[in-house]
Amino acid sequence: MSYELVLGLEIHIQSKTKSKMFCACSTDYFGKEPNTYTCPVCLGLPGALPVPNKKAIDLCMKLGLALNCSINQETKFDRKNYFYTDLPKGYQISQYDQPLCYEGHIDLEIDGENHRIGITRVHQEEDTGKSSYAGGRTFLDYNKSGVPLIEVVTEADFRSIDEVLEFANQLRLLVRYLGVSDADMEKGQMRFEPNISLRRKGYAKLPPYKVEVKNIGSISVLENVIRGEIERQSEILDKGETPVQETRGLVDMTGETVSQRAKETEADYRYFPEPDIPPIVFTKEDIENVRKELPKRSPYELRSYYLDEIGLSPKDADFFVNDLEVSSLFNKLVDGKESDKKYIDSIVSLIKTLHSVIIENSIDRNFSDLDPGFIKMVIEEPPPGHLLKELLKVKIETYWEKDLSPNEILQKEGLESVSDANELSEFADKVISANPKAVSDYKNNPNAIMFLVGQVMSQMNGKADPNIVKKILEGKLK
Amino acid sequence: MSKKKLSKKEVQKIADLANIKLTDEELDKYSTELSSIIEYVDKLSEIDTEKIEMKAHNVTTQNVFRRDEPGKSLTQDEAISNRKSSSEGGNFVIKSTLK
Amino acid sequence: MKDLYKLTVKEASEKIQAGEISSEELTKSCLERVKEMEPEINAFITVTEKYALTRAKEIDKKLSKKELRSPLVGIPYSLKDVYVTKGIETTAGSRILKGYIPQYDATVHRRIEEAGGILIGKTNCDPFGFGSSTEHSGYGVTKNPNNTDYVPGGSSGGSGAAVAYGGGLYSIAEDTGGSIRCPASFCGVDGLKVTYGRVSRYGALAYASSYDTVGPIAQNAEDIALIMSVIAGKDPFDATSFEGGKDDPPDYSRNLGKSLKGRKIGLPKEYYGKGLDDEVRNVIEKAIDKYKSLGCETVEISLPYTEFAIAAYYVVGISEASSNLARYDGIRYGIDVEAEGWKEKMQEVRSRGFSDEAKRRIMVGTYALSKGYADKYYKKAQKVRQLLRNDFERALNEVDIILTPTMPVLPFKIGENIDDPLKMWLVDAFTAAINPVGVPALSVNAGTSKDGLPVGMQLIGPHFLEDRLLNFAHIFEAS
Repeated sequence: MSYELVLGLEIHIQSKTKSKMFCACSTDYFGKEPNTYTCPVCLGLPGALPVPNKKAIDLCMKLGLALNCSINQETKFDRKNYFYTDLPKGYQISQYDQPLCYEGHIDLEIDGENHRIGITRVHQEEDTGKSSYAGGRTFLDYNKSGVPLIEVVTEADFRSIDEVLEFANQLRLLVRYLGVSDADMEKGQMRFEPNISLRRKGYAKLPPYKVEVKNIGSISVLENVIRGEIERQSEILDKGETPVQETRGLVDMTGETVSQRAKETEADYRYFPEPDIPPIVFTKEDIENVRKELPKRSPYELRSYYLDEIGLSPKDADFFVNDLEVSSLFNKLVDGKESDKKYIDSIVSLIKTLHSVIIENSIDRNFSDLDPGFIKMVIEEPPPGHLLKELLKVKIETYWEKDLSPNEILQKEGLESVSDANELSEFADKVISANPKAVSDYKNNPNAIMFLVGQVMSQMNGKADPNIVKKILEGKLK
Repeated sequence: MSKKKLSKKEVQKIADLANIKLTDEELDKYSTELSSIIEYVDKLSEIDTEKIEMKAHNVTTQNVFRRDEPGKSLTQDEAISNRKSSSEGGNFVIKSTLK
Repeated sequence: MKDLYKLTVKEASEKIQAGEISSEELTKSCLERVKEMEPEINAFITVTEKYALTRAKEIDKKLSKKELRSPLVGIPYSLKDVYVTKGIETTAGSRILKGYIPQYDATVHRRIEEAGGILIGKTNCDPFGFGSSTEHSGYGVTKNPNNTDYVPGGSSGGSGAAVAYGGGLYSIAEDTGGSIRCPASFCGVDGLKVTYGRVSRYGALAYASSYDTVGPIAQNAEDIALIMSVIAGKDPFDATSFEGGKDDPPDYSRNLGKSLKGRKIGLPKEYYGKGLDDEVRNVIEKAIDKYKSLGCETVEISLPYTEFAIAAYYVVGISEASSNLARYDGIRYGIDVEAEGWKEKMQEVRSRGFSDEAKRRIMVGTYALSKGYADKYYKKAQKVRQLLRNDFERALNEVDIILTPTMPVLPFKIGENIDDPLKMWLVDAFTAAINPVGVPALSVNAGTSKDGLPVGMQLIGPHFLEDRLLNFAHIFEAS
């Protein structure tokens, strides 16, 4: 018999904040020594109290708005009560009947057809600690406890695996693009929990059961799990039976699952408003201010714009779409010159250099705030290649808000290059006569010239363009 | 004696939720005590509260937040200081939570 | 100088600042008094003698350099054992936390230490504040210093008894439904339940998060005013603490002594009806007469939902408590046991560690929040709480303060009510009604019964007007 998939997703996403949801512990815990990122609050010590992180709430609202949700102007936190070893307070601070965001949707285009997936809610909560297992014992590390977690819940609108995978990929791209999360699946920053059931094709009613699979940390495993469940449930339905409503857990990465508990004995979470955190009230203006920050194009639309209209390579397009700040600067620089290939190539290259400068020097600046006029000047009148990174670095670190041209900055920092041919020639001659061995090496091996270039550069304290020096040396040694 | 408000079975269910182990004797004792307490608080149902809005917080303030700035954490030694004998490599160690 | 432990905070502070006595002398006097009284009274779970003497010497040095000016400099005090103190055992009066050494300090303790206070010990109490007699403590009952056959009240019985006998000049206790006011009344001292949010709860072991308040027990209102000016104020670690701007907290002593002429005192008829002990009534009526002679006007008022206050108070309070006490699972701190698996371990720790009263409250609270019952109990009680708020708001718009007995009964004998949990709950009728509402209430010693048992009166005022209550009490005590 043929069946139709009826599937809803819950997705947990760790937000990209510097500190935890309710305390000041750093969120940079991944791979660190156990229990070195904890405090009275996230370790659930007696007497500790939670104070919510504003940035996390802003990010949650941002995601909700990007998913076309309505925002609850009056919202609050609630306690979800249950006992487990990775839950230090015996309750998780979450949201129950007034989630921050509710009733949104996302439109998926698959093979030219539109599929709308309803978003039930997007709310803010906190992550639990981490358990690991060895020798019949469990090891508990609470570094992850209290990291901000966004939960996205969809309607049971998925009818095919393709839809689920498309959604998962789009959501991941969206949170990265918005800066809501790095969504690094390897680090467990994004986890899926599908509710899977089947019904006979042509039936409109929801199936009388659903099977939940917990904590899937990869999109390919998610795919395997759904395939496995479709097969397992089909067999049961073929026999005329109804699959048991239950929660199943992953056995391994192949997607094999095993029953964890039947849903009849589902925990009674005894939700009630978290009395330690005053309610949160947003004005319409607060919400509009966050909405204004949202980009005009979705990351998917932006990606096709980059590919089709600008002609970027898929790799470059992904690089830009993955980061809202980077793409925003790029868009500003494109400025109507989509078809000027040479210009586009130079800004792509420059932005990549800028990005690596920021990463290499751990600079904490918002990319998109950099003055595009400055970048244009750099493109029009490029500094010697070896000075480019240095120029960008000092611009960001020292001259961020100062209105100086690239050349003025180079001069102020003493970074200007000697381009006087006579002066360069003099230094080249000196180095040639002082290094006869290298000169004779060069006759056999042209690469040996780099040693001489290095000598000239060092005598000139780096104030020369190595490419020009190389040319001068080659001319003299011909 | 009139029927108790909470049977032993119900008390057992509550104790399970509360993660407290009770002996049979205790179940008896608590089903009597809890029943009389529940009977007493049942007087609340005499009041018509249909039009009353529930306010769970005891403050009128709203929107109290922290800025997203990381601060100091406890050291690992401090974190596990009350479980010196049942920790290993900085982890709290318990019997396996796997089935 | 002899018997320094008998000094009030104000007297001792003046002598210390003037160099007449040292903090060390005063601290020694209190510690000797503790040694003398403890075998009989048992007000302390932990006495921090060494710590106190070391600190007193340090403070004396700083005093000689005039580095510290707070009125609490060099003054020995105690903390109810529900406040975490880094490196000093903290039990909440419960066996479940036996041996727990906290990794951080409660804000109230830190503020007093920064002001130069000297902690001499942690006082006994009913576990987690669950009780009105200190009989439930896992560390033995505390006896009433006025008559050792009687309970000191609770849950902060150790704090009440310690201040009454001179084991520290004041104590920081905690009030969720009368836990400061009841022992103040029974022990013959004064105790302030502050406005919810007035003093930071950070580091106070939670009983009911939306009721819990941190406040002082001291010999008189003047002392309480001095202490309040140090402990009140916004704390970034407690989101429910009150943000009062740059002139906050106020100087709580500034209004002391203002004439009470023409001020209106409300007497709620529901608090003076049947069930009020005659001896208590006599003492309170004399106190009311005294206020009249000081120029106050009294009016009868009504708080119609009083009858339901206790039921609403308990349902919400223990619902919150059932959740607050979930963290005591034996995994990260507190007593540890061997058990078959992790689940069994948690259950064993909780079953052995919690008192019977704690188990009762956790279970009823769990029931009140559970599926199918939350509407009937938790939500219903929250709504009745709103009616109680309305009652008090209306009444406090008509009068300056409300005056009631603190407790409807005289101190009772040890063991008298222990087998009737519900009866024990009902003695809190006048105090417990206040916490769900959040307003401040001060228990002031008003006199004694024929047999010399203390009787307290409760002064209730509008939100954040603790200084008004303190002035009413001060005038009463000074005249």
